[in-house]
Amino acid sequence: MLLTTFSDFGFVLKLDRGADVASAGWTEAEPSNSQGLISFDFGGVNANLVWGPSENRTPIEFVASTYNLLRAAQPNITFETISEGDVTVNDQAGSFGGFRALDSGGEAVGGGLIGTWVCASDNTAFRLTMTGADATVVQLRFDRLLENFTCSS
Amino acid sequence: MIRIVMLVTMFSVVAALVGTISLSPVGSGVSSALAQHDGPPPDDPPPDVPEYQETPPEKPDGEPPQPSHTESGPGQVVQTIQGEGQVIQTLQGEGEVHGTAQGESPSQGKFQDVGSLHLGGDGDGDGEVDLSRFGNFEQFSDGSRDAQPAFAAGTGEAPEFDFKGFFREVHDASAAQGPAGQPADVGDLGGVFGSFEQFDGEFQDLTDFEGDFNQLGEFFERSDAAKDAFNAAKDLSLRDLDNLSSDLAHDLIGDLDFFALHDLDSTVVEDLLHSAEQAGDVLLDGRQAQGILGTLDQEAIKGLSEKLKDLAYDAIDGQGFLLIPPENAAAFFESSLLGEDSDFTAKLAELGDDAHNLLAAADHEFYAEIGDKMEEIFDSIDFENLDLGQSALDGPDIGAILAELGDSLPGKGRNEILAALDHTAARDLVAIEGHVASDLIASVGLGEVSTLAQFDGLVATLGVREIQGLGQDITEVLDSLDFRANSDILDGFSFDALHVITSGDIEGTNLGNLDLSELGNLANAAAGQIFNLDSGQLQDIIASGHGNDYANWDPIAVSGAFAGLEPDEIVDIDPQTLHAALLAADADFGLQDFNLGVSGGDTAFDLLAAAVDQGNALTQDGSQALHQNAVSLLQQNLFAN
Repeated sequence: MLLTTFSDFGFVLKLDRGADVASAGWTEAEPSNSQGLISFDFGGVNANLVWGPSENRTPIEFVASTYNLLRAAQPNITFETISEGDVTVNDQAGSFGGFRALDSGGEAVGGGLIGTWVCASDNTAFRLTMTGADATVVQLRFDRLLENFTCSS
Repeated sequence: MIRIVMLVTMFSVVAALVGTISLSPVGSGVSSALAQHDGPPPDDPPPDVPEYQETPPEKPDGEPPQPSHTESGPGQVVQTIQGEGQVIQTLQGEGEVHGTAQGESPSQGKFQDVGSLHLGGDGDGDGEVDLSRFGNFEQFSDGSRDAQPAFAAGTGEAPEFDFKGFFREVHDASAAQGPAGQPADVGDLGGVFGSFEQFDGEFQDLTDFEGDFNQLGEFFERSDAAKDAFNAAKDLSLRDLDNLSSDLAHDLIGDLDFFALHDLDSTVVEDLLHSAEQAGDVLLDGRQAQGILGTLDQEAIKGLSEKLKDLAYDAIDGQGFLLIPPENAAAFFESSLLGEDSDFTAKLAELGDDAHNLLAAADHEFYAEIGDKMEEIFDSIDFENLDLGQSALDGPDIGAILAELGDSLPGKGRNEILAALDHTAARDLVAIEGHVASDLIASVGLGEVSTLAQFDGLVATLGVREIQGLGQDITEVLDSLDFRANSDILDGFSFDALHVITSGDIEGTNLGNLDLSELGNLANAAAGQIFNLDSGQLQDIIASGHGNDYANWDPIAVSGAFAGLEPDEIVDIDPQTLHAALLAADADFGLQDFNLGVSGGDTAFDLLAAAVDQGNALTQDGSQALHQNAVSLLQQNLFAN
C-alpha cells in the first residue's frame, strides 16, 4: 500500500501521491523515534532518510559522514562532488551536498543530493539522500521532500 | 520584549485579581460555622440553618459596604481595600493591547473552553480563588518595583471552577478601555482577555497570549454577602436542603453571586431555587441568572419554572447570554421555545432578540438539530438594524444560520440576504452548500455580490458543477477574488477551477486566455493538492506559468505541480521551462546535468569526508555501530530507477 504520509516515528513526511516505504533500524534492530532508516522510491528517485542522535555534530559533518557511508555502500561507483550549500527544513538550518556517480567505465550513471538538519525539538539529526538518473528530477524531488518534512512536536 | 510585557502584565492582573477576591473578610459566626459543617450523622437534629444572615450590615446611611475599591491606570499601584480594613497594593501593567502573530486584532472569535481552575483557595472554605494551578506567578514579578504578590498559592482540596462557557465572547479589547486612570467598563468580560484562539491547556501555557489582562473590571469583585452565602451553601447536604426553610433558601439565592452559583452543584442550586420559590418571588440579577444557567444540568434547566425562565430572560441582556455554556444554552432554548406546549412562532416573537442571543450562546451543531426552525429564526432577525456590538450573535453564527437555511436561502429577499451577509466575513460562509451559494449568487446577481467582501466565502463553496455553471463568468469571478486574504478558504475552489479550466469544460475559456496572475493565484491557493490533477493538466499549467516565469507563483505551488508528473514527463519539458521552474521552486541545488561532466571541484563536505574517513564508514555512525539491516538497505542499487 502506498503511503501518502509517513509519521510512524515522530516526524512527519508527506509523500504526495504516495510511496512504498521500507524501514529498518539504524543502530538497533528496529527503528524507533530515536533512530532508524526508511527507504523508498519517490517519483522516480531513490530516497532514504536516516535519523538518529545528533551527538553534537553539525549538519555539514552529517553531509560528510553520509557521503562516506554512501561511497562505502556503493563500492563500484565513483563519486564526484558537484555542489553544496545551506537548506532550511521545517525552520531548521541544514546543509546539502550534491554529487554525481560514474560507473567503472567513467560513464555518468546519475547523481544525487544529501541534505542534513537537526530537529531542535528532540535533538534528532536527519539525513536525506536522494539519487537518480536525471539531475532536474532529483532536485525537484529533493526540494519537495524537504518542503514536506515536519519535525516531531 | 512583548513576552516580558505580557508576563508582567499577567502577573499584575492575577495579583490584582486575587487582591480583589482572595482576602475574605471575617464572615458572620453563624455562616462560618455553617460553612464548616460536615453534615450531621443520620440521627442528628437538622442543622441550625435559620441563623444565616442574609446580608452584611449596612452603613449608617443605608449604603451597603463597598467590598473593594480599585483604581488603576497604566503602571499605577492599585490599592484594593477590603471590608475588614485590609489594604493590598498591586501593580497594574501598562494596559497594552498587542496584535496576534498574524497581525490581527486580538479580538475575534468566541472562547469555548479554557479548562478549569480552582475556586476555594487554601481549602479553608472561605471562597477564595486559588490560582495555584496557574503556575508560579512569582517568577513574573520584575522585582524592581514594590509590587506585592498579593496571593498565596492554595493547598488542599478545593472545588473546581469550570471555565467552560465563561469567557465566551471576545470583543475588541481596545474598545473596552476606560478613560485614563479608570478601570475599563468591560461589561461581561468582553474584550478583557483578547483572543484565546491559540489557548489549549492550562494558564501557564499562555505563551502565545497577547491580549489585555490589565483591567479585569468589577466582574471579579465579590461582596462579603456573596462569599458568606457561598460558604453556607457549598456544604449543604441533601438532607440539609430537605430541612432548609424556604425563607433561608430565598435569602441564600438572593445573596449568591455568579461565582458561587457557578461553583455549586446543580442539585444544590436546583433545590435552593425550588425552596426559594415557595417563599415568594425570587429576584435575580443578570449575573446570578448567568451563574444559575451555567451550573444547572440540562434536565434541571428544562425543569425551571416559567417564572424563573422569564426572570432569566429579563435579567440577561445581549452578550450576557454568552456566559451560559453552549449545551446549557441549547437546553434553555429547547425548554423555552420547543416544548410540547410551546408555540414556537409566538414564543420566538415574544422573546425576540433574547432568543437570538440565546441561540448565539449555543454551539452550531445545535443549529443543525433545529434546522427546520431556522427559516423562522432567520425571518425574525432584523438584520438591517442588527448591532453586533450589542447582540450575542456574531458573523460565524449568522453564517451558520445561513448554511442551515439550505435551499431556502436563495429565495429570501435580496435585501434580507445582503443585510445578513453584511454582518459576516468571507470565512463565515464556507459551510453553505455549493449549489446554494451558486443559486444565491444568481439570485442577487453576480455583478452586485461580487463586490462584497463576503464574495470569496460564497465562491469558496463552489464545486466542479457550479464552476462549470459559471461559464465565461469564471473570469469575472476570478477577477473579484482576494486570493491574498482568503487563499486558505479558496484552496478547494482553486483546485476545482484549475481542473475545470484545463479540462476545457468551459467553452471559450482556457489557460491561454486566462490572465497569468489569475493562474498563479489559483495554483498558489491549490498548492496543497495541485499534484492530484492529471499529468496532462499539470503540464499545461506548468507551460502556462512559464509565460511569466512563474512570477507570482509560490515555490510550493511550482514544486507541487511537478510532484504530480512522472520523471519522463518532466524530462520532456523544454529546458528553458525546466530551468525557470527550478528557480521558481527554489529547487536549484547546482546539479546541472549529470552527463555534462561538470564537477564542482573540492567541496567542504568532500574534504571533511576525506578527513574523517577511517575506512570503516559502513560499520560506524558517530559513536555507534550501524545495524546490519541498515547496511543492507544502503547497499541497494541507488542509481536504478
